[in-house]
Amino acid sequence: MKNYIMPPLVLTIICVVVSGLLSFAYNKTYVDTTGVMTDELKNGCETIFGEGDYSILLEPDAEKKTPVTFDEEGVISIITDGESKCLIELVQDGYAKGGLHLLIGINPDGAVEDIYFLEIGETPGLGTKVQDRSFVEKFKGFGADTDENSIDNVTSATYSSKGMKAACNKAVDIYSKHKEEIFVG
Amino acid sequence: MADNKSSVSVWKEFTKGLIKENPTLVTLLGMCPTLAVTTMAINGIGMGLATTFVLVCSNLVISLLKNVIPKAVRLPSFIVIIAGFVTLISFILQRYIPSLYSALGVFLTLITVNCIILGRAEAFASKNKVFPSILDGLGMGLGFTLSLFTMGSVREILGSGHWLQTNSWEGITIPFLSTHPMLIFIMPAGGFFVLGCLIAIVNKIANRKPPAEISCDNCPSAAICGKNKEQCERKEDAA
Repeated sequence: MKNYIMPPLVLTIICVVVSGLLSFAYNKTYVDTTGVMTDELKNGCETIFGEGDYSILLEPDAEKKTPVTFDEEGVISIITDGESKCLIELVQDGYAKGGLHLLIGINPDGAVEDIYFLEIGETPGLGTKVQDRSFVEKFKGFGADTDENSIDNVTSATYSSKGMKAACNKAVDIYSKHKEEIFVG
Repeated sequence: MADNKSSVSVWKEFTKGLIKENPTLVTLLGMCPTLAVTTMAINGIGMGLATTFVLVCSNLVISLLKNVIPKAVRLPSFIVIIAGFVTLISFILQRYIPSLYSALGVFLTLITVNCIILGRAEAFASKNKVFPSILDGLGMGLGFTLSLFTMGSVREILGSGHWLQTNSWEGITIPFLSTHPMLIFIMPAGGFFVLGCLIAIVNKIANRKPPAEISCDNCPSAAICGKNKEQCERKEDAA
């Protein structure tokens, strides 16, 4: 009888203890940064536009902090200084799914001011080449009328380069469509 | 005299995993993460240290519970304990080192089924006392870290012309290679090539020669199967 009861009982006890300890660890380590201006975001904003009073646009009626995204796929948050500077945080597929996590600064003319890499999950040595300043510089001034084919892809990082162009297109498009809501909201 | 003997044996438990029974380069365990995450040296260190943490903690707990866990549920219990520690380390990395967490990706959670950890739990921790089990886990983990770091360094230097590059630091730039990197080394084929070269070097250092006769004495996995030659022969016959 003991041989039938003991094994499942011991295994159950181990499972329960491990689950309990893990739920405790989860509560201790989980921090919800949704809608929060983290140090990394602030650093990105200041790198692109210099010092300023930046804040994330939040949905006014939501119960908890919900960033405004205008229901655009991949957009995580929109940051402004409330006057003329706008930064769009988004995730774009490169060679890896969601491999480019960018902060794109848009100037008052509706063109890209600069790009800050929050995280890059592309192949090291290949896709990560899109971080090179020489490539990023080509996006400065990228506007709604810019032909993306005028920017050459990085050799051996074609998908990542296309991802960068798609991200800039999306950011510029969002700015032109929602400019008034961004600065009023 | 007895103290001297026991300290030698304790030291032996710790050092055997570094070269003599190195889990990656000698017993060839944990190949998936070894090939997948070693495109950068820093990823190798991160993966190795995360595995070391899980190895030490799981060896400690399994050694403590070895008399409590019935034989019939031995493996499921080990897996639950190991999975618990893997989940814990993933919580910690996600909270404190998110860049490493995303770089390791799915291979972090796959530490649970890393044969090094289950192998040491089954072969050593479930049969030995707590302190030797901790040392065994630490030695094996550091051996794994060392081989991942070495492999990651070679691949990163030759494949991208940098060393120890992170998201926030450009690392050490290697002249010529940074402008003319050999991209094959960060591709999977380069991983296999570097692994093969490292195994050859370790065999040379350990003066390991091909066995004249297949036996447990020359088998690097003998410690894991408990030198059960009959079981080995039965498997060969079945194949």
